[in-house]
Amino acid sequence: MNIMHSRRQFLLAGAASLGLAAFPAIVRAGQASARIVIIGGGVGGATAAKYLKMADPSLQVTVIEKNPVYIRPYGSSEVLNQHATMQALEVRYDALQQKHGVAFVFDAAKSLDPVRKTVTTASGKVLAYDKLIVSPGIKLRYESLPGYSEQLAETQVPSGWIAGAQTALLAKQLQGMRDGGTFVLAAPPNPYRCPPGPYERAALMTEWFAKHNPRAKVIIADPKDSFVTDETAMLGWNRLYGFQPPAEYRSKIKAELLPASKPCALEWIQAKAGGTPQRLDAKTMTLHTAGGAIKADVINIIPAMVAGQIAFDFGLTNDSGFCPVHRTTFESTLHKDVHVIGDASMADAMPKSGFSANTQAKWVARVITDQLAGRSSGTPVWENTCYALAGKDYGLFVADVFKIKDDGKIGRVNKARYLPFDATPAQIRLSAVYQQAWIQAFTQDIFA
Amino acid sequence: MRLQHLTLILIGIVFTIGLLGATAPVFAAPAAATAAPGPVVTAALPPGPKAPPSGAAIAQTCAGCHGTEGQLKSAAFMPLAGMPKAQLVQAMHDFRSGKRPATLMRHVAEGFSDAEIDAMASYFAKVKPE
Repeated sequence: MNIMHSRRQFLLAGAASLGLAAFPAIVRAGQASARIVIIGGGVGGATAAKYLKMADPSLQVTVIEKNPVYIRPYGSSEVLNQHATMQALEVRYDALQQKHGVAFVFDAAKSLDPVRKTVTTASGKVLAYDKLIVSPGIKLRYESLPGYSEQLAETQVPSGWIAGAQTALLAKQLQGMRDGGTFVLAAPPNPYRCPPGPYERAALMTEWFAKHNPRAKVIIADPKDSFVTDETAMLGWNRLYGFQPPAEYRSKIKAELLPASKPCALEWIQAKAGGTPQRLDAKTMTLHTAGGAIKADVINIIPAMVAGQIAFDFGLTNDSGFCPVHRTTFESTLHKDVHVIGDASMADAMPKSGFSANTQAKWVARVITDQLAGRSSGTPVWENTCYALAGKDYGLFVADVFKIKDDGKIGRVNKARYLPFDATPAQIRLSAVYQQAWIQAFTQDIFA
Repeated sequence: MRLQHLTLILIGIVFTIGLLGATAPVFAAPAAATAAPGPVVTAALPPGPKAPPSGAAIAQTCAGCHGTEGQLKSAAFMPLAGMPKAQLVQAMHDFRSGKRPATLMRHVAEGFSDAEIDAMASYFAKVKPE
């Protein structure tokens, strides 16, 4: 039974008989509080849990999550350049449980019964819900690159795009790379989690190598010709590492570029220059691209990605491998009373970022509490901010405000979105300060 | 007959409470929620395609940097909880026009109309700083 209906019926009956409806507290006591089940304790799921309990502490909010400790992916490339430790990535669920009263089931969600409105976990636990929020993140398609596999990622050629043991393995490989060695990063095709992330990772390692392994080379092999923050990132790389942008970027970058003084340690091979990764030969540590073979000492492959496995198991995906949703509510178009948020959802212009997941989660928490109370939520608005680094003191960003446009799709409403070309040295440095501050503030908004 | 009148009155009361609940900050102290009606006109507009988002909904999008409910103690960003309304409105207008130098706040401010800036500033002004 739908809580909203039962509440309406109760209001009418109550108003006609005793007039109890004038006192919302009594109304609430007269019915069981709604059960909200959330799949996934990452940015989307944890934010939704906290904001649901803040809006209505009487809601029964339960998060189903495999791992008892969260390893945050945002900022995790800073483990590679020794700017952060693996321990610094760990986030606990204590505040959500103790301060906000969110229940956690540390188990894997396995199947959905959308008719009976239940979720079953791997250990056989059955949870009934009035509203379900699914925030499963991404699944890496290791096998999309011939010669690559999850097993290779865990032992020899890490991806590290879902932070964890692979991040630590990659850090060890990079920091121990032979003198003058080559690091190849295979960038992913669109759409993917954390759009500026692969480029930030390559830049941070270029900076680290300059100090610790000055003859080392960094090569980005890219199946794309452009990327988010590209023109501002390349200006930063030029200033920091003497990077020479491809011809079409020279007119886009409205700032003076420094001439090449020596071969740049950082190379970006875009798709049209033959950068598209085609095959991995792990035995010889060679990445074969459309333009030729690159022999490397350390290879980091960020493969194509789709919605997290749970989204497939729950029947929430379409042919794209992601989850179609109604834009105003993020309710699945495939199952009623199931909302899909974060990287797994199809949100038009919104990037697959932690910040997107965070504002989607808050909006869905609002939609659900308003639905249960019989209110309208009004017009939605979302934001995204991705901070990134060209070097540890050189901050970059993309900033967006999103609304539903006249075509019914989610679109960006602000004009400029990157660091301005005329940003002063102080603003560039401040952007890096804000990047670090953001990691703290953002983690608190989600988990504290 | 009397019962019908009573029903209408009660439904009216419930509706009013619902509206108040929808526009008041969730975490403001009870006193703050009832104080200073202020220009919450924007937030109380009936929802529709042209209606702006509520001040509360806009404020939530700020929290990813400026802290939940604008409460922030240790980071480099400005805490927004309890900021006088005129100050926040002025800051957002100056960011949007470029008068006030910024890193990314110009881009964010460009995404909001005068009415939306007004609604978010009204919301934060009513949140009691911790």
